[in-house]
Amino acid sequence: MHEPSPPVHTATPVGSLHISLFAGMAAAVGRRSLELPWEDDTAAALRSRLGAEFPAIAPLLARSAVAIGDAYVADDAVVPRGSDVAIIPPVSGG
Amino acid sequence: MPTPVADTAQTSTALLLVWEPIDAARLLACVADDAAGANVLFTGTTRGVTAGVLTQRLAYEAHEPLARAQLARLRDEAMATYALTACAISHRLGEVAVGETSVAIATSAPHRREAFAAAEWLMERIKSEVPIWKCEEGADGGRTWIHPDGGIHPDSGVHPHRERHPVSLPKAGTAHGRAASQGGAS
Repeated sequence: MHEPSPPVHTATPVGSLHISLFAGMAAAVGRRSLELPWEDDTAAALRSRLGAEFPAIAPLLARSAVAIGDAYVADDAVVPRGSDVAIIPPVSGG
Repeated sequence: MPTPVADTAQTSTALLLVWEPIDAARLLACVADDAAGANVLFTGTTRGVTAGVLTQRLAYEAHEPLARAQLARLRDEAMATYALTACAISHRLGEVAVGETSVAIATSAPHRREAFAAAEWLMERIKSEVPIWKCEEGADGGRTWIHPDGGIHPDSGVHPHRERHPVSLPKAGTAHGRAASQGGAS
């Protein structure tokens, strides 16, 4: 049989967002990364979407920054399809 | 003919985040320069007691690529703002026992005011902008990730809550004089 590539059960749909979580946020959600379907979100809208999905971290999300790759982005920046996104809660280095 | 010592600070970029104990003396040696008349070394060490609560040990994690980029940006900004001769920063990740160094900053400048002020400024910025987090483990084994109150306002150049180049940037020589104090790591 020579089926075309299977249309279902794709672990990471093409263009979905890879979200990295850190520190207390990762602890609260119980995982360090997750995939979200891409929607034409701004960074702020993406935070809200995550908060709706994981209410436990909603308060922390509201105080978090968003980074794509190795750069912070503004709240009104559009998150491109397929982005590696990191949610950066208030930091405590030093 | 001047020796190219300043290059040492440039090549120390690889030392920005380390998983091994920090060699503060080596960091200080990195910023030595014939043009420098002042050399400041700040080390932040893990505190055993915070607000009356015993801490058994601390662990740090980071968004490493972003943290490296932010540390390099801050170092470059400090070099330019305070006219430093050299500057080196090292932050430790992973478990750090009480009393060990979690962060070290070395600055050198022709005169002491700039070297002190830059170290203080860098420490403030690191603690508020660089994506590194501390986890405190108490004597009872409880673990707590530290997320200070308020929002994160990383000076990414695009965050709406903060100017790209804060106008309140302390001028060289006028910043607070606590840069050289041995400080708690938190």
